[in-house]
Amino acid sequence: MDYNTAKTLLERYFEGTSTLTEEAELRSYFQQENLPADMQAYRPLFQFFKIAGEQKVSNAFSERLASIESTAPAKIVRFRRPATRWAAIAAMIALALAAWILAPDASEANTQTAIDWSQYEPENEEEAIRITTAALQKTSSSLRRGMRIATNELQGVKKLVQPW
Amino acid sequence: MKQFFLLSLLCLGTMSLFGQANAIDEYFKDYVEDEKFSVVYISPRLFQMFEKIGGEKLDLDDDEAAAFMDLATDLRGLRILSTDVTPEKFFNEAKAKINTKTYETLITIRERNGGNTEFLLREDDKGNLQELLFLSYGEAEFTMMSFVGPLNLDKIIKLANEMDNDN
Repeated sequence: MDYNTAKTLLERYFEGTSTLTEEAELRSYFQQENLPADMQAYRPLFQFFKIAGEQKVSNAFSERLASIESTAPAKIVRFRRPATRWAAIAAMIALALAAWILAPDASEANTQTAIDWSQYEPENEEEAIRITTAALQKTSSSLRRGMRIATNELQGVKKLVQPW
Repeated sequence: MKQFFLLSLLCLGTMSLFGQANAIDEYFKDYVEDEKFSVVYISPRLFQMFEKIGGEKLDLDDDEAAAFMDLATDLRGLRILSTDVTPEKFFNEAKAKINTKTYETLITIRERNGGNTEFLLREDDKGNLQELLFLSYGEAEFTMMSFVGPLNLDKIIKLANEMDNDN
């Protein structure tokens, strides 16, 4: 390759329009011993790739790398959504437990036989009326008493607050 | 998941619905079976008969009888438990057994010479009165009465006032 061709290819190289074969030609051109003075400046650029390509890692390093690769196979860690599922199960268990704890009152009442109230009924209507009357009288008189006490107390308080 | 929640809520709801017809069935089964207690139950059937019989057989004057009948026909059941054995002990025990979340205290009267009377109310979700529970003890006796039905406090007070007018 003559000087002029090299110059053209170099220009194309810097413009970024050179092909791979042209770049290979350039690299071989810069390997020659005697270069024109203006071309000397570019020599390290093309020699660097050659040197870099020839560099090799030490045997010890590549052995270590190989041993790491063979002994520790890649572990695939996948992020699922396990939290929601377990939370759901936990919630179900908690609910079932809560229902079980709250239920005994009801189940106890169900297992026991209900009170047979009919045996406690009065024998005739007159008796029933008498009892109901007495019960209501007692209730209403207590209620009346309670209200009367409350009214008296309120009036007492009123006197305390408004003495006139 | 949502369905499960709804279902469990439904289950809990029905449980509490079945739970309580009246305080005595719920808390005082032991007392009903206890020989020391005398037990009386007036069924809704008997209350219906009152209507037929009318107020004539009652030892009350007209206004009282009217107020009484007005109240009695609302009743769906009256249960009375009473004992003359250790009245104070039973009263305190009974008070402790009653769930204060369900039963609201209306009036408490504590006598100076010992003795206590208490009115408790149970209402449904809409605030309608479902049950009036009367607890009382004195030196002689402990009495517990449960009035069940769509009660109206005004009617009870009306009856009380009618009887107050006479005395």
